[in-house]
Amino acid sequence: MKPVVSAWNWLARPSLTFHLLLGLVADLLAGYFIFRAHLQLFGPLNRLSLLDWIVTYGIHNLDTTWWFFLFLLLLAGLVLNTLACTINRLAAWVRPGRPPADRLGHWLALAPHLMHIAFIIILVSHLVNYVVGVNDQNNILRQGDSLRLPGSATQLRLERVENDFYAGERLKFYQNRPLSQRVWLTFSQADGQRTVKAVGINSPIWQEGFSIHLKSYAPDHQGGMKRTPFVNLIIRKDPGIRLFAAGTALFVVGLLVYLVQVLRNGTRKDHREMTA
Amino acid sequence: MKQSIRLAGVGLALCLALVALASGPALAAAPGFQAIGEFSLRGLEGGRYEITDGLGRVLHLVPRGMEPPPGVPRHEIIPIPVKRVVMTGGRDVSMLLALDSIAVLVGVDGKTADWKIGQVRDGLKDGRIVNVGRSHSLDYELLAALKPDVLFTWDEAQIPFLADLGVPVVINYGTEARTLDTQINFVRFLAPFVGKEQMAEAYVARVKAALDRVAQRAKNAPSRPKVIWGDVWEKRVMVEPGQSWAAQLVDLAGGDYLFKDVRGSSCLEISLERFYSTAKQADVMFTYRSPESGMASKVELARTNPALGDTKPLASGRVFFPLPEYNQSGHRMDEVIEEIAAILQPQLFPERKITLFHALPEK
Repeated sequence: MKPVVSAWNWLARPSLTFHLLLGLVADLLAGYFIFRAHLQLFGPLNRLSLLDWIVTYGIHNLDTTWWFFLFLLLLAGLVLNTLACTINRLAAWVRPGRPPADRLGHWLALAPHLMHIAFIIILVSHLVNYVVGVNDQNNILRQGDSLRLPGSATQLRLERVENDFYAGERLKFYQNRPLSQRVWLTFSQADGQRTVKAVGINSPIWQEGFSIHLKSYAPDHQGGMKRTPFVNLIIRKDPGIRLFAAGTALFVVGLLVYLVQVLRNGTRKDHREMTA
Repeated sequence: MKQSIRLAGVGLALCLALVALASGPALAAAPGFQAIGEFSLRGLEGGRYEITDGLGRVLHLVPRGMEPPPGVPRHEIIPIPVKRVVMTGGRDVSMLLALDSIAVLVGVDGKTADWKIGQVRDGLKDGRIVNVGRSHSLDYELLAALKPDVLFTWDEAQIPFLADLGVPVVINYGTEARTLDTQINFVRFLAPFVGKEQMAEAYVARVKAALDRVAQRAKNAPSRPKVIWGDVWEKRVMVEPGQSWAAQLVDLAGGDYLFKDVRGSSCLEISLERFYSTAKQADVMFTYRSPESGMASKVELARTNPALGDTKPLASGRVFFPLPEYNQSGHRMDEVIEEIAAILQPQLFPERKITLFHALPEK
């Protein structure tokens, strides 16, 4: 039992946090330069699951990707360290004994722990998205074509593409180019219910937990080469997104509680100085 | 601190062991994985391959007679070695020459006169090769009649039409311009289609040797001319981005490419202001605008966009355009490298005859 306790205490040490953060800074500094020089090795992370990327681009290019694996390791270490440290502190916080004289102060002391827990939740939510999320790329449709949302009975149909072309004279390079676009999609559910939504570049839509993004489309200009009309859609499902929102909300709560604590401590200090 | 380092070491080993454990079956089935720019090639057992095209789509190369992977639609399975290929884009067609496989070509885009490769021209004349239309508007009836094993094209809009015909499509363009490394290694991507892996290695070795030779000599250059590679149009300007193979070749061949900081797709549109401020410093300009596209002289080019008329290459520098052969010279990559070096550093490469580029006359 003793080695477990000492390992746990070692894991919860603030000095370990310092070393891990230092390691992360050094690793990310190296990673910044390597990443910039080998964008095409890391780009597929946008379309592959983490495991798929690891067994292909990751493991077969260790001379370039080592920093990413080290980053994951350091991050995992930081999560464990934060978790151990937070559990120790929370255990001390809930330890039965005499009720604290300053009850509000006692509750406000939870602020850093809330933020630490939120940090862990946010990281876990990213991991969930990368490991079990749906990232269905290159769904290419012609006008009138349909496809089924992954693992769902709902059909998606491309109705039409609308562009708002630049009509001015001043910006010559914008002439014949769209300022915005609307790609109209009809979703037909198994019960016959139909919903029509418009997706655009940088303007995704949501349907049954899926986010649908416009990757490319035609026609995207007036005149010139007349291309076959099509849209290329990305269909994503990020199961960790609720967890991410919860983590973010908890972090905001922690920050607000911390703000109250700081303001309150400041007021009490001012009061003490005035009455001294 | 020492304890932390020890723990980090143990942790790293654990992490790698976990990764190996989690991906064990996949790794065992993936003896070779090559990333070739945005393309990839993964060798599987039984001579099968799983490839990723320029769009990030996964396709399966399955030896003829072998059972295709279950659940994969027909238009994502390519029987290898391929016997009937339709390909758009001169550069990739010419790569088939490097693999001694031009005989598999049954369809191309463009008319006979557009082609400088003798075998393609002859094939178009005698009907062995068919012109399937323009790359952005293919003739689907002709394509269907050709029954190709695969179509190589840049245009993703073709995918659903060809899927209806049961023809697999490989998108041979990525979202970014190919780097020099990608351009040279692209032959390795094509090789499994035609079963000529050894020829691909020989090609890569030959081109890399030429690169080394040129780079070695270019090191002795007394000065490095400043170079831009781009097209001037009436309303817009386009450049080859810094990571493109053309730009990287310029740097390697003794030039100083001025759009190094620009990144993106080939012939990328940039602002007129940026083009102007950079072009003013350039000694040499390469442009795809040529007499064939109605641009017969520097004066005419300057007239297209008068704001750029006083930039150094147009006013007093040198402007070169590639001849039509250049776009179909993938198999002659070593010569392209030497010719660009000879243009930029003529005193270092006096023996090299320029056959793929031409200087744009003053008037």
